Amino acid sequence: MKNKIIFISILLLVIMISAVEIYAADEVRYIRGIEIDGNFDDWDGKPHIIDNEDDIRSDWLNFTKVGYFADDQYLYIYAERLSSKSFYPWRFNVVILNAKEGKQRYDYIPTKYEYDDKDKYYQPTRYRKRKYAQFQISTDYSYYRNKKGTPIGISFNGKKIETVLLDSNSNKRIEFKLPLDKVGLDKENIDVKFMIKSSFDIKSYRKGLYPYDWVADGKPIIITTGPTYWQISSIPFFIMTIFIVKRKYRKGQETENSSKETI
Amino acid sequence: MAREILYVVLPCYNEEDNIRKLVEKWKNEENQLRKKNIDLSLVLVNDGSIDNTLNIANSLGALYHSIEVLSHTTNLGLGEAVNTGINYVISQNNKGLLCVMDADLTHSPYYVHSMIDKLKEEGLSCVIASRYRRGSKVEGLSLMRKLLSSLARIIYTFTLSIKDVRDYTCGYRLYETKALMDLSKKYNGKIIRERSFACMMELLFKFDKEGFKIGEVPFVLKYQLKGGKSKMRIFKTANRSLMLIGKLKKLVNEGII
Repeated sequence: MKNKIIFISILLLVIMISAVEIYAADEVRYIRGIEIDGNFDDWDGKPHIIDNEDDIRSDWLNFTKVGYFADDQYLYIYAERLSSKSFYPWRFNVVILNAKEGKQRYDYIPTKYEYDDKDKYYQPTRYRKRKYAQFQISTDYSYYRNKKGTPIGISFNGKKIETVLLDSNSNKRIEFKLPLDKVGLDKENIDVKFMIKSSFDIKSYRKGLYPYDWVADGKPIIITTGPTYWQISSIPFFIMTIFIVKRKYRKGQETENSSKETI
Repeated sequence: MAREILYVVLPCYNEEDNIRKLVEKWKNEENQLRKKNIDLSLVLVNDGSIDNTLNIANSLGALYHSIEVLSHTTNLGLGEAVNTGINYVISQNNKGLLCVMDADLTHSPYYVHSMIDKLKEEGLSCVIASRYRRGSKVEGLSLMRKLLSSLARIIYTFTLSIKDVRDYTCGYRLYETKALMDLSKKYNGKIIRERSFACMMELLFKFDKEGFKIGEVPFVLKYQLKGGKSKMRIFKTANRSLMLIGKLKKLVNEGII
């Protein structure tokens, strides 16, 4: 029995460690697969967050899905919204929560949301105020469908840094990449912690509702290039559990032996 | 008193019969403008003409130092031509005035004096040469065109209702360059997005939205002087205008512009 427990424990440990390695390897594979070219197929099966639709009134500012990746140079983002009208622009910020450089703007980040039945709306009930580095993403509105592609302007803390041109026929989806050296996260194996904040929504504001759509609601998106803290901390926890089980088993054996001896 | 520059932007598409005559007419007004401490600068924007317009414009540019010739390689539409002219004037960084008019001889440079006076006396940012003021007249236009213009006027008045404006579509206007500079900053260097003739309405709408004061002076539109065929496709323009009103209203409602 003792040998059986040791064998099962080692087997579980091996499976767990190999799972951690696969996770890290997957990240690298994904990053190589993304190109900012207006072809969104390479985002299929990649990590993403589905955002609530009842957290802002204007469709053009309402995020429905956000995909994400990072390598040691860029943060890659894919965003989808409710509105598909071609003349609406894109206007939002990418707030980097763990930036090591360029922290210039104060922001109130909602940390808790509650559903308001009356307004049918997710309203933040708790915020955290801190200075954050922010990328501003914007496209111009247009009355015409741009056949060559939509130019996306990217600024960092108000200064224009680059413009990428991509094809987005319906104007419902967008993809772009942000240079991580601006926020000091451009080295290998550094986690990127960020949130996406829509532009001010006048429709929600007029109705007395919270006028920004954040992704994700109440919690940041974390991209990790190695095993997470949870995965690392679970290994000693697992060993400790095995140790306790083993001790209990041994105690049970000893009690059984002593009762046999008494008989 | 500091001298000012009056930039006259003339969008030209196949205007070989008219451009030289129009430049001469402007040159006749030059002396009177000088008396008002205003220097004249003509900006000819060739919008991909397929006739001799560009050659004539270049020869006029070589003859007069106050003429600048800008050219699109392909026909991009009135909106883009006006944008090109406005951006050129803004790039000169001179505070002054900018006049836009049709280059087909239907608009006479003579009215620019009353427009300048009105703009200065009333502290306006835009003055329109209006077909719908006391003293205005429309000559040589077919009944059908007159009816359509009146219909457009009624629609614009009900939907846009800009204070002190009756003529929303006339292309003969005088702007303060400072106001255009402010607008250009707001719209990332591209004030006009509409390419068709409806662009004049878009520009006016944005002026009003920004809180700039607009006024009108009467003028006589002499359509019989027009050289060459009309470039306006009536039903396409009407359709674009109606769609544009809807979109502009939506963009304002969403807080985008």
